[in-house]
Amino acid sequence: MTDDTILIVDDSPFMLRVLTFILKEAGYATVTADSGEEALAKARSSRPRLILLDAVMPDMDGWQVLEAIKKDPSLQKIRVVMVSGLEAGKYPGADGYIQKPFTPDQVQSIVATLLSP
Amino acid sequence: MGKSKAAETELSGRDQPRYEGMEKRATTIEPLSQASVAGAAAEAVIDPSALDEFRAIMGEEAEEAVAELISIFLELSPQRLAALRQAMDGRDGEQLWKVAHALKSSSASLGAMRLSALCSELEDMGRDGRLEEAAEKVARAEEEYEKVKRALEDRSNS
Repeated sequence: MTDDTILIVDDSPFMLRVLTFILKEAGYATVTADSGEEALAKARSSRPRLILLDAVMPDMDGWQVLEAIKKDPSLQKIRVVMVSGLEAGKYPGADGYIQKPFTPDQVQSIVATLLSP
Repeated sequence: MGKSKAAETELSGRDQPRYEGMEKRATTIEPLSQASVAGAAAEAVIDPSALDEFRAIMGEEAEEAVAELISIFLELSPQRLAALRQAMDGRDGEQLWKVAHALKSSSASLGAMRLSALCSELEDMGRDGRLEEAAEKVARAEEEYEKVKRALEDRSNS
């Protein structure tokens, strides 16, 4: 539990709300984005330490966002956790992976691990 | 996000004086009938307007989302309360404020404003190292959580 800010990216308002609740429940500050384009803008403006990134979104999807973040020297230190219903192991470059459906404990645990000093 | 944070702060700010006022009235004025005291207490456990705002944001998915949040809250909060007690017993101010901060946020999201206000006081106590004052507040938070749990379970079953 820290004051670290986490950016949550998902095109579903339901998932955004549930993930926000789970992370606030663990004491994190959160910001949200509902598209890939907004995710990049918020990553630059809010300087999160970690991003929970939905893989499948219309227009700019999670893979494109991940690639853009890891190529940008000002953003590449941000930890990126892909969130998807697809199988694991398809996200080269991501720091972690959460498979839907997930439990709140799984989300809190992977975030705590990646943000531990 | 900024807007909902402001709304939480405003709600907890409003809630606390109301609660203190109720306490004062119960001890200094003619005792209220048991029924009306019980009615007022039940009303104050969950502020329904917190969930109304949430429903408006969620639109069609509102009921599913509210049920999901309640289920997450009921699943995780017992661990938070245990951690509060552990922090107090271990005189760990940092753990106390961090756990209280988390529980303050989740309880306010569901409209459990009295629980949130108690956690806010515990957060301040943890930050200031006033751990000797925390014991009574932790006990009150545990009692309040039981009321919140019953209110949320009743809501889910209705």
